[in-house]
Amino acid sequence: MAPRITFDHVDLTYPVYGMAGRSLKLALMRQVVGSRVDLGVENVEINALSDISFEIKEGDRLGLIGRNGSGKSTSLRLIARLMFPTRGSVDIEGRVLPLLERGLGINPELTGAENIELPLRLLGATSEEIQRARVDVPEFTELGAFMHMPFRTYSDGMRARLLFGLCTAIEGDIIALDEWLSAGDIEFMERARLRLQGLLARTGIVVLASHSPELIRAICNKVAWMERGRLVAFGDASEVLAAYTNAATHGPQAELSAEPAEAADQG
Amino acid sequence: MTGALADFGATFRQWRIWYIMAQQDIQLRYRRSLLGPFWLSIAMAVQVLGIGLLYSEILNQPVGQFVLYIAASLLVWGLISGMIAEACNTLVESTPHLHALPIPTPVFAARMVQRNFIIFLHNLIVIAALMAYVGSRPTPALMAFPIGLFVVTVTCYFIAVGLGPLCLRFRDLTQVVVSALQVAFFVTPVIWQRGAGRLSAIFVDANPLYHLLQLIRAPLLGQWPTPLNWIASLAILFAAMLFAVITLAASRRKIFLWL
Repeated sequence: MAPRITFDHVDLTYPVYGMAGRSLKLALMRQVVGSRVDLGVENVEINALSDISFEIKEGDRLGLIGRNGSGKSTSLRLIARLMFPTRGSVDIEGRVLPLLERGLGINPELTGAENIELPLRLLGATSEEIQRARVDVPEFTELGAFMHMPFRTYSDGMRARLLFGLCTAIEGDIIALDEWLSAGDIEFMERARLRLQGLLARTGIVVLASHSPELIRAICNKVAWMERGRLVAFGDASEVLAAYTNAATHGPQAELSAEPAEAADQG
Repeated sequence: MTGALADFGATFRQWRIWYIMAQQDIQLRYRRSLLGPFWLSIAMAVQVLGIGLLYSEILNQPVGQFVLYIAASLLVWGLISGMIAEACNTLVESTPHLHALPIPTPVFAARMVQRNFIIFLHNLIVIAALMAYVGSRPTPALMAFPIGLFVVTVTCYFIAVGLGPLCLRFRDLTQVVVSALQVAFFVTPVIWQRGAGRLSAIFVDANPLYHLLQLIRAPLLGQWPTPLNWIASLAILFAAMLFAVITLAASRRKIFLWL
């Protein structure tokens, strides 16, 4: 089945719990005493996404652009099935590779070679993929003998190489990507760039969240421009990006969204 | 509901994730120490001998048998109460993972149970050594041991699947559970025995933890668990399963919001 992502009138609202909101004691007291008594429980609701609809198909590279709190990360998390819509539906066909965070499953006490299996399993790798990665990752990272040294002894550059090598070691029908993968200390490495390009080229759908119009222009054919949980524009990358950069520099939109719901991006 | 069942299926299929995590948890705890997890066995042995010798005097019991009883009691109680107490932290401690990866939450419960199971197996050495020293021989009742261990472990797994999300949502629930376990240690016949003193047996039989305890402890001491122990334990297992499925179904789409 060809990979496909469909957002159909997606709303996502969620409460943000302060210390008091997380207390069972206070929750029970509220049941007993009723709402007459103010127990100091904050009840802040975040409107992370409102009425988002779009569809992307095999071959599409979707860039999510917008400032902090616009709903980019939330959309990525919906695609990664970390969050679920309050109303509407998110339909995903195909295996999703969620590259939202790096270094998960890495145990600093273990060697590089021993740190291959768990991180990849967490990303959903099969046993065959692990076998392949055992050959492929040492080869790419060129860590040599360090592959058999504890991870904690690595330099920052070596760590970055291993983490990048791991994230790019398995494939999916859909990649949900936060911009970190293309940034950082390894950016200068030509081989890393080629490896990432190769991976993206073999992937049916790529969804990339980024602040950077340049990065999105380099990778994406479609762009969703989001502000405060709404879809401002969706469509051909060059058109939407032109409108976005235009608005960001001197448009009224910049004023309008001067105080976005920061917390929506932090979840 | 179907989502919750799918999560259990995924946990079963992805056993390597929790298996590796549990192994690393133990390695991390005892890294660079010569005896590794056997440090725990030594600590357990010291505790057993201390309490066993002291209470055999206080309660006027034959030393050898009583120390053996205390050893089996503390070992099994440690397994059960340890799993229930740690159940509260399974998701809280996995926040970084849950933030970025769509891993079903029962995976983390399985990791915790597996970790405690391995530690329990190490501690069994204390019992074996004591039995050899006291000169008590294995009896046919020992055949019930693996079955009892299996039932108790699975029960605690389901309790953990339910408690994990609840303790994530209500952060003070952990304190409630830990306090309840402390009280339970005294009202359950761990150090004392059923039928001792003037206490009515109903008081003991109404305690679910007693039946789970007996399912593993009795075979270690050469006795068969009673039919009541089995029936009660299976009822508890079923209740725990229900608790797990309902909590999971209600929480699985909200986990991210509770992190």
